[in-house]
Amino acid sequence: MHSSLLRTLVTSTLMVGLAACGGADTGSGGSGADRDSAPPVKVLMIGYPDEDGIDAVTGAKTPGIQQLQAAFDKANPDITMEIISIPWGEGATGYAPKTEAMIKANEACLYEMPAAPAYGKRGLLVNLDTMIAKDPAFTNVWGEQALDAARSWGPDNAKSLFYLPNNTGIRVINWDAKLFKDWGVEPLSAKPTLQEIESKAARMTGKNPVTGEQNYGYWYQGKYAVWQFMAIAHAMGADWGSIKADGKLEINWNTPGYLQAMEWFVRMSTYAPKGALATEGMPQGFVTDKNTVAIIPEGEQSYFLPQLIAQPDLRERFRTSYNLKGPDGRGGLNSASPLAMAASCPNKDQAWTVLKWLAGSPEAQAYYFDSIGRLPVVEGSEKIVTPVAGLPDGAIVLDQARTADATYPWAAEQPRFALQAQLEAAIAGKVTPSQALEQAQKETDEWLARQ
Amino acid sequence: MARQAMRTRKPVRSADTQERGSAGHRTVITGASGGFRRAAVWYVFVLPPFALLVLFVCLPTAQTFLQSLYREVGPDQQQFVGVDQFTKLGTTGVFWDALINTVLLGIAFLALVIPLAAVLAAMLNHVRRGATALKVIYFLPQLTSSVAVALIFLYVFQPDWGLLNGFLHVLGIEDVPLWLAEPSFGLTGSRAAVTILAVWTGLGYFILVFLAGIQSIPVELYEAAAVDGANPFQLWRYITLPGLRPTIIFLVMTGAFDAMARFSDLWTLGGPGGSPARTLQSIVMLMYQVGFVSHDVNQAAAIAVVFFLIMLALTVVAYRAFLSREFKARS
Repeated sequence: MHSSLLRTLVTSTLMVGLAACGGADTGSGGSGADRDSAPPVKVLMIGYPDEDGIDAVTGAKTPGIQQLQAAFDKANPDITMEIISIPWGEGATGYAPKTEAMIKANEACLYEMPAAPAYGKRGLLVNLDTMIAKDPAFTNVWGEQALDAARSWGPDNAKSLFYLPNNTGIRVINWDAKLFKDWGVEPLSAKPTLQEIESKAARMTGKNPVTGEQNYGYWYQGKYAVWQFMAIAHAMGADWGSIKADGKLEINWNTPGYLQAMEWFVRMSTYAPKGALATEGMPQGFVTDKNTVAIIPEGEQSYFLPQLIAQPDLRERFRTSYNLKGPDGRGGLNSASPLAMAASCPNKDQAWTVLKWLAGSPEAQAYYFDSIGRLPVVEGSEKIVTPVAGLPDGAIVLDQARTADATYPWAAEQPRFALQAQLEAAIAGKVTPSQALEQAQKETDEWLARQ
Repeated sequence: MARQAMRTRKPVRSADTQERGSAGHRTVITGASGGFRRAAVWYVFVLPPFALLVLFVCLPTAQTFLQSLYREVGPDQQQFVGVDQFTKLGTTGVFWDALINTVLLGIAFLALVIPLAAVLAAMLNHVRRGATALKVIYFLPQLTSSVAVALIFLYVFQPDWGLLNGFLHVLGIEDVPLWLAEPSFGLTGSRAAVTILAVWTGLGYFILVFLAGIQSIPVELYEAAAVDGANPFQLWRYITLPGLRPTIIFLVMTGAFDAMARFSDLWTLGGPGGSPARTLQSIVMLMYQVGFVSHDVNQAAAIAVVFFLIMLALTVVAYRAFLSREFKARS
């Protein structure tokens, strides 16, 4: 009995071991016979629906990721692409550790990769300028400004192009036309100044003269308030610093410009609901009849576009202005989704073709909007997403995507968290703006010294 | 004494003789090879979990120790820097803040949950009808995903439209607490909110363990005390509480380990920066943020090593201070 038990156990262990070691095709790769000889180009994509579905709010169809695969296969019959689709996730099961693990294990060639500049800085990505240089057929469909905004420091080049933007969310100033009307306040202009926002927000904070509800003139996204702060500071002409030739950062928070911006922000936060500091998105009731907030700088627009398109009364009420702009005409967080190529990719030429198609083709751009409401980043995008272009503020929405601020190379680093923490402390009244910037600078300097 | 007895106890079956049966006949295998085969079966049983332990715990732990001594200087290139990562950690205020925060949150949690669970367990012990249903209700939060619980509490503690403040408004309280929007040590601040969450989640488990502890105390002790005229408070003070000593030690130790490793709920409520103003940043959150958001894997490994050493120290201190006495008392 013992020997048979022994044999069974050994066999079972081997079977489990073999099953565990065997690879599983998580992608949805094509299977054309003529493509079998070439290795597939694996692409990590984040946050797209696995299957076709229906938007619960608007009833619109949302295509699954296999539709993107099918469109690619049709347009590129000579290349096999495999999409590895993962959700954004949360904490330990989020996209960040998965991306880190995959790129270390050479699991894919192309990565939809938030914080791509940080990976590029570590030498893990291809400088796409090298691919462009040997591609006579390359056409810049994104525009010079968009590609310039994507450049960041790399070990071989101080202005490397580590990614192409494949789609974007946008950060705009949202405002509620009904609340403006109730309060008898003139509508917000297309490119409002800080003074205009302050005076109108102050007038619309209090009991609504028509409904009697408590209204708030202003809003900020508590846990991500640092991005609104950066837009305000940029509009006031403040400059965070620069990247030196050796890739080291020079960051200055403790300056008169940032102090002025933080004082303004802290003052404006009194026109927002007290609990805004504990939030991480738009106010409760936004894009519904229950909205009570009048002006939302640095507001997220993309998620709400399908609702505005589907419901004409909403699109007349919830309007959009340009985000705060600096002297350079740019402003607002650059929330383009980067598509990057791993330095370890074995078939870079094919991967380059795939990358160009995913980031620049009209089919792919249309897919991103139809599936999750992300906007195109290519020039002439109004022809791709005609429903957006048809909105009352459609032109602003599409243009804002092209005039966002350049990416911040410290966006995922300690300086961001130092500034965010001190900004929160200042808004909560625990420290003065001056003390907050001093402490943020101290923490940033500690971090810079370790670089 | 008991150990001595175990050592001298003779096996029921001889070590070098074993019956082996199959298909209707019996074979007797003897000698060293039989002993080896019999032992091998148990090694085979032990091998798969041991291999998994080595693969998923021992190797990554060793790798983490190694990573903490290096610095990334390029793709697949690392430079040995000795204890430099630890020296840098020592001078980083954010690290100390996260460490102190973790300890404070842990102490607050244990200080609340242990007395509360002990009292509730004692009361539950006297419930004759519906006790099982009550146990299930208390234990349910423990079975729910910590992220889901945190998302619910995000709504409960929302200062403007949250459930708790809505209830306070109904009671006529106008100046309601700001909870997660209040970075303070106060009873209505963000730390208090996450402590309430932790107590709500963990209470059921603590109650069940206490209940088991209470039910293991011999009834004769209570009967004898009753004959001697002890009142309920004296019964609790002189019989129940001393009888629960091992249970309390167990719960303090395991509760402290859990509290130190707290991550998912705090991350969901406080985001990557432990908002507001880092009041919700734990040491494990900082480790994750440094490693996977800021991509400094070596620094994150150094934090992990420090965390490991703290937990090890905690275990040794707890063993020396409490458990060794318990083991001696039982032997």
